[in-house]
Amino acid sequence: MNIDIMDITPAISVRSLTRRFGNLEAVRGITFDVPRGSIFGFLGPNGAGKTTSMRMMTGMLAPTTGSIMISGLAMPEHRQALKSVIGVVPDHQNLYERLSARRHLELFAALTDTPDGRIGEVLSLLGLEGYADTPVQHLSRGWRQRVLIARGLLHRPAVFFLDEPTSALDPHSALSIRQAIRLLQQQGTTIFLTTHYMEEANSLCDRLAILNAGSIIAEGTPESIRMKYSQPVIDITLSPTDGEAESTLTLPLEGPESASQLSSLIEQGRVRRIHSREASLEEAFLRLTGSTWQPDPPSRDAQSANTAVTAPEEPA
Amino acid sequence: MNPRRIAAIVRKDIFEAVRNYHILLLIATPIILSLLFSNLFSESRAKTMMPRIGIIAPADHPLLLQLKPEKLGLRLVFFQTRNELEAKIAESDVSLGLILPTGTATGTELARKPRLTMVYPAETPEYLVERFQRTLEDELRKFFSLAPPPLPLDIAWEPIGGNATTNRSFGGDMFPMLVLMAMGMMGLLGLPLSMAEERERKTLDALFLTPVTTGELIFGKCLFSFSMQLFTIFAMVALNSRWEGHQVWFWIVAALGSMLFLLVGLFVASFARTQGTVNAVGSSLFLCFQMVPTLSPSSEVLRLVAHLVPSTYILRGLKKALFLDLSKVDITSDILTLLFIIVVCYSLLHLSFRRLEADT
Repeated sequence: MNIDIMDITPAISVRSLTRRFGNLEAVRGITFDVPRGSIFGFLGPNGAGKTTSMRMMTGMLAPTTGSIMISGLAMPEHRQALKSVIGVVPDHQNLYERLSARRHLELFAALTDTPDGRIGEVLSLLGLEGYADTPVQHLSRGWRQRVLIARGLLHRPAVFFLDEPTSALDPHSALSIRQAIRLLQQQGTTIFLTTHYMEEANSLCDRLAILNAGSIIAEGTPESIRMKYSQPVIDITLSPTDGEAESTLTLPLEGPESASQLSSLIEQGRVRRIHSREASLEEAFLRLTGSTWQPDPPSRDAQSANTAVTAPEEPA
Repeated sequence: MNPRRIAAIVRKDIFEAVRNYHILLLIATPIILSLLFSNLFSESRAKTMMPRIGIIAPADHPLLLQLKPEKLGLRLVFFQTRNELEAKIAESDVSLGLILPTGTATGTELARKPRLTMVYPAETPEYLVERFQRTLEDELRKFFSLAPPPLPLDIAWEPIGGNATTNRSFGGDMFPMLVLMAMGMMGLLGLPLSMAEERERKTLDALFLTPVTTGELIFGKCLFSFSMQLFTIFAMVALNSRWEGHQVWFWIVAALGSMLFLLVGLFVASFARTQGTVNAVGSSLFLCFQMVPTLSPSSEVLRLVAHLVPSTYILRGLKKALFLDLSKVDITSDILTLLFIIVVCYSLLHLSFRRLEADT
């Protein structure tokens, strides 16, 4: 039997990766593998070390200790060779404001030795043809994000890193970017993404790692994490009391406390409806990280984009 | 070095520049000023400097003792040959030259009516020449205790140096100063500002995620700034009508000067992380590089300091190439000095960038 070694080695293999900034240990010996052709999600609260980890994996930051292999090549020893293997979409929109999408792609095609014919393909893949010649400073945040993605995948990277690709985007833009990510995966690209959105992680990712305070505290498929770190619940709709509106109480499906509380409510005649449901990934996340879920405030870029945009509408 | 990548960086900078009014302003300012000064102030050659008088004669010449130069506010500089004297006058190091006959005081010489020769820059305004003529004649009469006329010696007045018409059409010293400004604006401000903007916007991260090397990136950016410097200077020369200078030498000095400014600009870019820092550091350096050589004829201290400021050699080279007769004035020493400074600057920069790379 003839097995290609490249097919079985993980696209990304990280071992005991650590990064210190002075006394602060931002990333603490994380270890994980990302199978080829999969979508791997990095979840974590603010300051968990997601972006630092990604910057080390993409060669933009040297690790303090540990090893990183991307497509069988060690980082940072093969950093130069790896540049043509990876594509990166950072968490900030680092675009040349005065250049159009087409000019961006022409520049990066020349820098990555990509044939010019690929530019049209990428513009079309991301639905950018209509705005290809508009300076990016006149585009909305969603369209600029597409330009970033187009730039990152122009040279057909085998491994594509996306740092919060849908952060502060409207639902339409976020949806179309998720569709593009799925399409890339179907074409065989390995995707590594960090996100704050549980729904996005749940629906997009084949595997997830939850990062907290620099360490991986859970890893597996979204389903397995949900099942392992949370339990099914019941939502009880309570009838209104004096002057108060109808309310909902959520209790774990199992356990004596839930049972006694539920029976007490039934005795009082306050239960209107009961629904059982599986626990969400968000609940598992909150339980794991022990924090209250607080999405990032929109960045300054996002705020300015939201107020000063003269952007075209999303395509139908 | 990959030419395709370098060309891509240059092309990107050009496309950005045409939409960036900061860069357009840096290019347009020297051009507009050169037009203004060449048209409005071309006749102005007034100088506030204390005159340095070049002398060919022994230091203990009796006439010189009579002249008492300190009292007249003059400084005497002695030369061996007329060629040396004329070169210094042409380069504006010396205001006027006085070639004294040997043994003026002897009776035999007086009988032969010896000749005293005054040499002065061709562009000296007539009123200044006349004033000096009168002063000199008065002193000579005092020396010989004579009443007018005639003087017992002939005085020859000989204008020397370059082409006065060309000089005036280019606004005299103003034009080379503006050429220096064109080099400095793109070199000390344009290039480091563009690099700081890449840092601030984090577009540098995006570039370094591609196979482009630091060398290719810096070379591409310098090539863009260099072409903008030469374009600006070309526009200034083209718009300022008559061209009678030494074209080849002028462009050699312009190219070397532009390179030197770019190297200094790279120094600024290597430590100035923000556009604000570049503005502060670059502007200070720009003023120093612009003012020291321009104002050096006005004070002895500045004249000494000017030797330490690299732009002095650029300005001197430009003036020589534009206005002076290069068969009489040496320009190669300035060019060799510039080349030497460029090699030293490049080596220092190379070392500092290697160290920065090793640190990261």
